[in-house]
Amino acid sequence: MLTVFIRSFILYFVIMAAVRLMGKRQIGDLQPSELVITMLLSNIVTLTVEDISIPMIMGIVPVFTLVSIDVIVSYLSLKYRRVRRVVSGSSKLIISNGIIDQKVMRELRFTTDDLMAALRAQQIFDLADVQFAVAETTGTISVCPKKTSAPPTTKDLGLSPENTDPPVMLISDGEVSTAALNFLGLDMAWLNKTVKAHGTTIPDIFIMTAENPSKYTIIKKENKR
Amino acid sequence: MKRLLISIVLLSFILTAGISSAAYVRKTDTRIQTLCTRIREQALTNTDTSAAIDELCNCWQEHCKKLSFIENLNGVSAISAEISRLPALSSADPADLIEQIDFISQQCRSLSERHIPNLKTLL
Repeated sequence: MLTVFIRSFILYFVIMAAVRLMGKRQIGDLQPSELVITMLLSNIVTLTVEDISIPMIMGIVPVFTLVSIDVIVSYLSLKYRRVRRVVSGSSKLIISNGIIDQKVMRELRFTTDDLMAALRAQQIFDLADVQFAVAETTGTISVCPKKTSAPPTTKDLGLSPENTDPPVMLISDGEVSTAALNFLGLDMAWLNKTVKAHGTTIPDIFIMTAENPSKYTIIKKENKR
Repeated sequence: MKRLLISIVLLSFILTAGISSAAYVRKTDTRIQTLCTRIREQALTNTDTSAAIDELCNCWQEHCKKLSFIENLNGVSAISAEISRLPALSSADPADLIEQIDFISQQCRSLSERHIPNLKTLL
């Protein structure tokens, strides 16, 4: 029991290190090669955790071998288009100029229900509103609605609002993010002054976001009952 | 780029460790096979086998410690159990000893073959 616990504990950090090595993309949409790696990793680790007759190294070696190969293949995919096509495939146009390419749909084994579900997920309920749709290599469908069906943009309305960066989190649960302060070109002196002006202290702030020194939002912590 | 470098270093390390462990297992297996042959010959000629058996037991004990890091414990324990029977057999019927030593030799060989990549182990 204790052995399994310790092995699980060690393998948790091994897998964490392996996933970190693979990079952030692994956590989001999976490319075919990444999906394969993820499935293999979970199986390898499960065996090593459960069967204490298998040496730990027999779990660690395949994990890092697979992850290292994945990183190298990703790098080659990044560098060479041909490798990328072989490893990840290429995106396919399903709807072009509002016309469904049924041959491509058959190739992708994509049913009409799948297509409608993908469109609905993007808030498009009428097929006639679609200008073109692309099946991405991750399996998701990207849709571009017809201009006549798309909501008007500020450009369409002749407006010219100022382009600003979204607000960044300066304080989260009483903890200051110096990286966010630096990003906005602000310092602790400004932060302390602003917080004091609101009659509170940094540890008492739940969330503080800011776009610039004059535009910020402060949410105080609720009193503990 | 940093990840790529870490991956290449890791792969190289794993490959080197793999080659080293295979070389070690092969070298030790050769020694075990030599000892098994010697014990077999001594048993056939009815000479004293106790010295060679002791050497084999010591060699296996050392090998066993290192093997436990790279080999399934069940396989290693099974051979250890068979080897532990040898001292008692050294004074018994040579036919039993020969049968036992042949079995141990075959088990050790198949164990070492698993560490050396070949078409059989790869497929």
